[in-house]
Amino acid sequence: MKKHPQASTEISTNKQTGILTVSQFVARLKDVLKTGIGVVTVQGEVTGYRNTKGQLVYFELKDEHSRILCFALGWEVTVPLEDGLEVQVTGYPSVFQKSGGLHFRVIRIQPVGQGALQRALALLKAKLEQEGLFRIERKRVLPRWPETVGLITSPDAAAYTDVLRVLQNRWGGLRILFWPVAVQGDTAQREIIEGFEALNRRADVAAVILTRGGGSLEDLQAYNQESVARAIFSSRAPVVTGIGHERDWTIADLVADVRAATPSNAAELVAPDRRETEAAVEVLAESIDTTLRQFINQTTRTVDSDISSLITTLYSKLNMVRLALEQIGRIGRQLPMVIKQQTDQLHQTWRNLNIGWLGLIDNWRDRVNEQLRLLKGLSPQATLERGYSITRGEANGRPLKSAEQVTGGQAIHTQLARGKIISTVTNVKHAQKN
Amino acid sequence: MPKKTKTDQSSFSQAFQELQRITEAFEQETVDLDQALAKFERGLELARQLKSRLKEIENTVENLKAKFTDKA
Repeated sequence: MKKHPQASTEISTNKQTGILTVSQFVARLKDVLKTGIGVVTVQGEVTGYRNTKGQLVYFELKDEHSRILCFALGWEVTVPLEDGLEVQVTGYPSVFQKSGGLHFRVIRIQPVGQGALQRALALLKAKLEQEGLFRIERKRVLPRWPETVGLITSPDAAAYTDVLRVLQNRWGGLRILFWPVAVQGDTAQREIIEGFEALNRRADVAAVILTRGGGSLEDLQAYNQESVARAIFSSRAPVVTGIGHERDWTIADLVADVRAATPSNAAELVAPDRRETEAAVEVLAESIDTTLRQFINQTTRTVDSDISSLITTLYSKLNMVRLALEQIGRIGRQLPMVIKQQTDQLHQTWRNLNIGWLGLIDNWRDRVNEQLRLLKGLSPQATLERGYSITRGEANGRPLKSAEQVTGGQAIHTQLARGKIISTVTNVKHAQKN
Repeated sequence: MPKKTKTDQSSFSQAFQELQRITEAFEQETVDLDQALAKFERGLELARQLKSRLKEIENTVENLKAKFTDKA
């Protein structure tokens, strides 16, 4: 409750005159209303609902005879309102400082009666649906083998023992982080939100179970609150709800990643079944065993077939080599004969060649002798022998061919076949020119 | 203790997935003989670990709020 010390001191200082300023009066009025009447809950029907930019909420609460203006800040109103809705408004009377208008300052609004609750629920559902809080795409899959699980419920509820029993039956070694809450009443909503906040601080939580037993729509109120819906939406780990019975649907169920029909069902969805898991491990181990055996058999067969194909190839290669060797052997046996033939032929050729060559030489020798004879006939000695002589001038020793080459008194040398005559020219007779 | 639990948590899942992968590899015949024997042994070891983990019976409940209030 807010006090206004400034106003009260001013009031006291102006006691002598008894006159107040407007601000002082309004402040005093507020003070008196708040302390005199205080926090009350008023029930009535909503009318003239206004929401200015989501910041300030105004509406009137009425019954058959009266009406009162109600005021709240946008974020304080957690229930979607509309005209005609029957609500219980908790708050205190107050006066606007500026206008002096009397109003009811809202602390909390609660829809009343089955019809009003249904209506409020429908409104909230439509709002959150439009925001996308229920979208299938954002639903997360639960881990197959969680080891740490969050649990938000009342320790006194049957749901609590049901959940623990089922978890115990299905799986061992599970760590359950329990956040006890009131599942209905004034504190339920806040405590549930705190639970999600606490679990969000833990990185090891694999899933969160939000659960409680069945109840009336009023009993399930906390699970139909917008703030709880948003807490579920912002949960780090996927959330499984098991609220009431299968037929009970809450906003929390719609936002949750997985909705279980009952608390026990929630536990079944979270914990794996140890027998099923054991069977799965068994199947995998056997499958490895079987496939390994098959694999070994198959490999053995493959190796066998590889070896036999290798042997076949080897034999065929060997055969080829053998054939080649046989061929070489055949050639080997024929070889000396071939060589002898070739040698004989060579000798024959050589002989033929020699015969031809010798004949050719004889022939050439005859022809050379003939030529020599001819050459001998042409030599000056032979001519001298036949009675001819050669006369040479004394001056240059050349044979004289003309009388003009000498004059009287000159000595000339005449060569005969045997010996030489030296004589002096006495007379020269020139040959007649024609 | 919390750390151990966390390791266990991932190890069960990891061990199971590894076992699954080995099985798949065998079924798809993508292993050679040398690998096959090593993988076979590994697979059996994993199966043994998983089965021994399944023998754990007790779940533990920790009251977070009580711890929180005690501290405060």
